[in-house]
Amino acid sequence: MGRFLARRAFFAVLTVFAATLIVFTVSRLVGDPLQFLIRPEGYGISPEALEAIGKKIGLDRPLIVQYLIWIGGVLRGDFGNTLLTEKPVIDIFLEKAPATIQLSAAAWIVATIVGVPVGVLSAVNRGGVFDYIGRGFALFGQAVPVFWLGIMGILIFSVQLDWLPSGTKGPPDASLWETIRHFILPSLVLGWSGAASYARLTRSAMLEVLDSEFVKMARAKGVAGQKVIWKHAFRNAMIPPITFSALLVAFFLSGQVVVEVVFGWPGLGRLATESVFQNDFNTLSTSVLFFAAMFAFMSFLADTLYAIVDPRIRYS
Amino acid sequence: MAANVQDIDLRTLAPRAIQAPVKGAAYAWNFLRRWPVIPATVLLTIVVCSIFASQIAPHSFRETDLRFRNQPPAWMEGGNTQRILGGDVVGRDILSRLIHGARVEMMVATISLLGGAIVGTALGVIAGYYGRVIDEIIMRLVDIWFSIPFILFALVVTIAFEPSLRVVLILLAILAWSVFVRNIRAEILVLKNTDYVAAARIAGASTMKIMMRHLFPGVINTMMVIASLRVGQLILAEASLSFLGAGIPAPTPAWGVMVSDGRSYLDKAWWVSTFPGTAILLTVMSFNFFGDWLRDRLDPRLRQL
Repeated sequence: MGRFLARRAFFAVLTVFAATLIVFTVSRLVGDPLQFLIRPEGYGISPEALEAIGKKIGLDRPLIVQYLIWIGGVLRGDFGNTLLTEKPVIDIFLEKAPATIQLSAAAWIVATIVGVPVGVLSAVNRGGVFDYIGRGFALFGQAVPVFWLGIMGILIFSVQLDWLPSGTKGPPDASLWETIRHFILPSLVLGWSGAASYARLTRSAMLEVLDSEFVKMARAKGVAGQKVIWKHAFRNAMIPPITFSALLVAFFLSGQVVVEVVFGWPGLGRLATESVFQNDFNTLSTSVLFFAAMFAFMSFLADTLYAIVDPRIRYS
Repeated sequence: MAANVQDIDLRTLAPRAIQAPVKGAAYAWNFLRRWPVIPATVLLTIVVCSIFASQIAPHSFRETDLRFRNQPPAWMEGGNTQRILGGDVVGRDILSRLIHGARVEMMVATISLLGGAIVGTALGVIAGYYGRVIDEIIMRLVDIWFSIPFILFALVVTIAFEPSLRVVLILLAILAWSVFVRNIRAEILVLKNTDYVAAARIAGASTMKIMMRHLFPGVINTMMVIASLRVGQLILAEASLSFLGAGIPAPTPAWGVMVSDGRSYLDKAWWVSTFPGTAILLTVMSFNFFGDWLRDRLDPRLRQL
C-alpha cells in the first residue's frame, strides 16, 4: 500500500503542474496583457515605456521560460503581482479564500446530511412513496442549472418573501445568526447537486448490500429490521459515498464559480472569473494552481480512504 | 394454501411484468413506469422545435419591439397573445426565442457529444489494447484533464478565440471525452483477453482490424450508455458558460443567455429568467431519465455511473 500511495502522490503533483502549464499557455494566447494596463489611465504611454513594462514582467521571453519563471517563484512562495493594482497575488488570494472555503464546507455539510439519509430511505422503501420522492429529489438536483436555481432562490426567498438576504457574505462584524442567514441560500443551492449524487450513490450501494447473503442471513435469524438496515447494511454501503465525499469537496471548491457570480459572493471563484476577463494572468494561474491542487489532493484522499475503509481492495 | 399443485394460480408466482394485463389507471401507471414516455415526449418536442424552429415560432427571435418590453405572459394581467410567454428586456418574444434556442441545445447534444464520444472511445480502445506506455500516457492525460477546473479553462479559451458557436461546441466536446476513456478502457482490458480476440490475432488480423471489428463492437453499448448519461451535463455546462457571458454570442438565443438577461429584472419581470431555466431543467431531466432507462436496459453493470 505504501508504494501505491507514493506513486499516486507523485502523479498527483505531476498532474497539478501539467494543469497549470496548460492553462498558463492558453491564457497567454488571449493576447497582450499589456493592453489592459494602458486602458484605465495611460493614454500617454509611449511604446518604449510599454516595452519596458513588458520586459519587467518577462513578456518578451519565450512562453516556456515565462512558465518556468512563474513556477520557480511559486516554489519559493512568490506568486507574482496582480496586473492592474500590482499587489501581491497571494495577499488578495488569502483575503478571498476564506469565503470560498466556508461556502464549500457549508454546501458539503448540507449535501451530506441531506443526501445520504435520502438515499438510504429511498433504498429501504424501494418502489414506495419515499423512493419516488427521493429519486425525484435526485433527478431534479442533477438536472437543474445551478445558476438558475440560485436566481429562483433569490426570486422566491429574497425578492418575494423577503426571508433571506441575497448577495455578499454580509458584513464581517455581523452577528452569528445574520452570517448564517447569508449562508443558507448559497449553500443550499450549491449543495443540492451534491446531495443528489449522494442520494443516487447511497441508494444503489444500499440496494446492492440489502440484496446480499449476509443481510438475508441477519434477517433470517431474526435481527430487528432497523438494526439490519443501520448496523449491517448501512455500514457496508458507506464505501462509495465516503470516497465520493472527498471528491465532492474539490468539486464544490471549483464548481462554485457560477454560484459566487449569482450571489455576489466575495470568493475565489469570482476572483478567478474577473481575472480571466481582465487578463490578469498571475491571479488566474494561481487560482488554477489552487483548484487543481485541491482536486488532486482530494482524489488522492479518496483513493486512500477507499483503501482504508475497504480492506478487500488490494492495490498492486 | 392450495391442496394440489393444480390449484396454484401460476400467475401469482410469475414476476410482475408477465402477470395478466391490468386495466385502466393501473395499466397506464405500469406503462409509464416501464417506458420513458414523458422524457421521450419532451425530447421529441425539442427535436421538432430545433428542426422546424422558423416554421413553429410565432415571431422572430431577434425582432425587438419596445411596446412589449418586459410584458407579462398572456394569462397574467397586462399580457396578450402577441407574447404568449411574455416579452423580454427589449420586447422580444420569449416563446419564439425558446423555440430557436432548442436548436443550440440540440447541436450541443449531437455534435459535441458525438465528437467527445468518438475521440474518447478511440483513446479508450487504444489505451486498453496497447497497455504499457501508451496506456500510461493516455490515462495520465485524462487525470490532468480532470483536475483542470473546466469553467475557468472554458472562459480562458472563449476569450482567447472570441466567443462563437464553433468554439463552444469544440470546448464541450473536449469536456465530454474524458469519461469515455476511463470506462471504455476498463471494458477493453477484459475484452482483449477473450478467446475470440486471441483467435483473431492468431488468424493474422491486423491490430487495426482487431480494434475496429472485434473490440469496438463490444463496447458500443457502454458508449451509448455513457453518452446518454453525459449529455445532460454537457447541456448544463453550455448553459453555465452562456450565463457567464463566455458562451454562444448574441443574437443566438441560447437558454443560458436568456436566464442571464432576466437576472437584473427579477423583481419586475420574473418570467424572463424563469421560462428558459425551466426549459433547461426539463431537457436535462429528460435526457438523464432516458439515460438511466437505457443503462438499465443495455448495461446494468454500469449502475455506479
